[in-house]
Amino acid sequence: MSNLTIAMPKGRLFEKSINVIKDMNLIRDPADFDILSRKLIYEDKEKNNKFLLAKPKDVPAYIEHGAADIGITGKDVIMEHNKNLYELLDLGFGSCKLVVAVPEKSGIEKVENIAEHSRIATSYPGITKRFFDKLGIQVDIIYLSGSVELGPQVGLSDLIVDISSTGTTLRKNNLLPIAEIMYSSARLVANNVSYKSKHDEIKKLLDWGRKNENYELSV
Amino acid sequence: MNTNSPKGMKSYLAKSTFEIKKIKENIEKIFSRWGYKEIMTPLMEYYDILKNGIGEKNKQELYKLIDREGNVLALKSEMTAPIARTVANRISEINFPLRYSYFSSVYRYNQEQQGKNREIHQMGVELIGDKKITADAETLILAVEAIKGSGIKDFEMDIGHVKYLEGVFSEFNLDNNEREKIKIYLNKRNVVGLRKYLKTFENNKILEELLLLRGGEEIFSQVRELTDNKLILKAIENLKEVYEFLKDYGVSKYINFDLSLIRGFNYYTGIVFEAFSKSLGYLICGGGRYDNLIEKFSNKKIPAIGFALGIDRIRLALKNEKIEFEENEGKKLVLFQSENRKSALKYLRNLHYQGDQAIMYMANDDEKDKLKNNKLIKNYVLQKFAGKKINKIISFLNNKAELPEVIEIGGR
Repeated sequence: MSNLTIAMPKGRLFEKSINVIKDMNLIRDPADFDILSRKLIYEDKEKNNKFLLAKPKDVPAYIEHGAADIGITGKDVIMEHNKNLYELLDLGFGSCKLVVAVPEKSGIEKVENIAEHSRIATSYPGITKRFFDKLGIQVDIIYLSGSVELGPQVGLSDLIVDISSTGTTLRKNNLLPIAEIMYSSARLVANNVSYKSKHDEIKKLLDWGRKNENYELSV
Repeated sequence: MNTNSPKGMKSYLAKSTFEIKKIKENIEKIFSRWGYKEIMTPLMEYYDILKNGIGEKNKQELYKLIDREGNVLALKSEMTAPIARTVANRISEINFPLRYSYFSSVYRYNQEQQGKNREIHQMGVELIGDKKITADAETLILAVEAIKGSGIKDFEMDIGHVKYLEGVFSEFNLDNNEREKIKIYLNKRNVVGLRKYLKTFENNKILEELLLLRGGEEIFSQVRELTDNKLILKAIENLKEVYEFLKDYGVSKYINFDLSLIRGFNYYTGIVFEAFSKSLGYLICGGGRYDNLIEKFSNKKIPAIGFALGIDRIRLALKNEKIEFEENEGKKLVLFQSENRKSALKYLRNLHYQGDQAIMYMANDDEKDKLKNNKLIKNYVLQKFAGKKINKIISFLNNKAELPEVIEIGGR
């Protein structure tokens, strides 16, 4: 009897999230997730769990307001939105880095050389602001929801802050990473009240995490 | 001109206001059984007073303004610091212990688009000047009883102890820097970060277990198996003793222990607790002991303990539990023409003086046709006062005598 509502992340984290949910024994048959991709919501009557499908960056909102008990999303998203929730397990997959990248031709080699009031295109305005505030460099942030690499090529921005897993996309767009802001990977998160009111179920997941430390790639 | 209410703030129409009033009445009854007296504090305080209470981390949530002399003021964001300040001001005239309760709006300038209110309605109590175990027990019992009294059935309360955490820190010889780091992880509920950080310590398995313990009465013995640190055991003894009080009063079934519970505000010094409804994703109550706060405003050490309840959240939880608010509605309508106004108003006054809900309606000459007989009157009133819940018409129309006719409107 799990009785959990679980927010699953759409996109690049989805496939591996299914494996985790399967290993945690939260779903009857992982093939059922085909239904979820079509219907956005799916109830597993046998395991007594409900699944919903959301963009990774929306998962924290479902969790914080209690619309879902637990969910899977990236550490980058958790850091950006700074929501009030439990971060329970590092699931290890979906690893990437949030980097500062400049055009190869710019000649900038380190963040300290970035000029005041440089324009930065990013989907992570919160993290970017905190990072440059700490460095004491005042920058102008331009929020883009995707294809951030385009910014410098069309003169929208001087540099970018974006996630990079292999560096290929950056290279293709003639961008050079000069600093790493943070490491990110998929995390299991939980609503504050669910952590307490469904603690027996959630404790099982924590114990599962302890037994499967190989899921946790160390930083 | 923007005619909306400011973000995060709203007006409450009759139904919601009625519900809030009912909740307030129900909880007040419980507070007054224990001898708590309601007090009021100003909407604004000096910024430094409030900042001292809630701590550096939460100060950006304060609405700030500047007065004519250039002092920084802020809207109160919780009630404990304003009450502590009030008590500190009047310390020489007060006989302790004090039992104060409040119902107040508080203001939190939180980030946008979180779906959170910035004006919050809170009720709570402060028991000031009593350090005994009975004060801890009284406050916890009162918190449980208040939630029960509000009508919520499915709820639980977590209790922790600030000294427990200090004990764990001293047992492992952690320095201030390490303590702060662990507190931040616990406060942010970042279990991943905490566990990774703890891996750098010796005996981290025991440390981790001590920090993440949560459960019923059984965890007292679990702690004793893990450690014999005096501070930890003292905190545990304190919790256990309070728990015996809760058992004897018959409210222990709502209680769990979350030993390293950290509340957002940093003025707590002893027992801390928070309660949640299982039907709602948010906390509905939080509180604890704060023995050093009043000292900050008066240089006199006065121990105190208290808690606050979120009334808007309690209302949401009651809705989720499908609990209806009973409204004894049903108005009488006194219907007349100008020539029998005198007797109609006398009648209306008598209704009011005997405690009935009643309103009046004076018919014009051009309405005469529609009000020829009782059946027509009934239809006309039903149509004109639709949704106003009129259940009885007292008609002075069709007879000039003093005695009116009573027309019942059945059902709703």
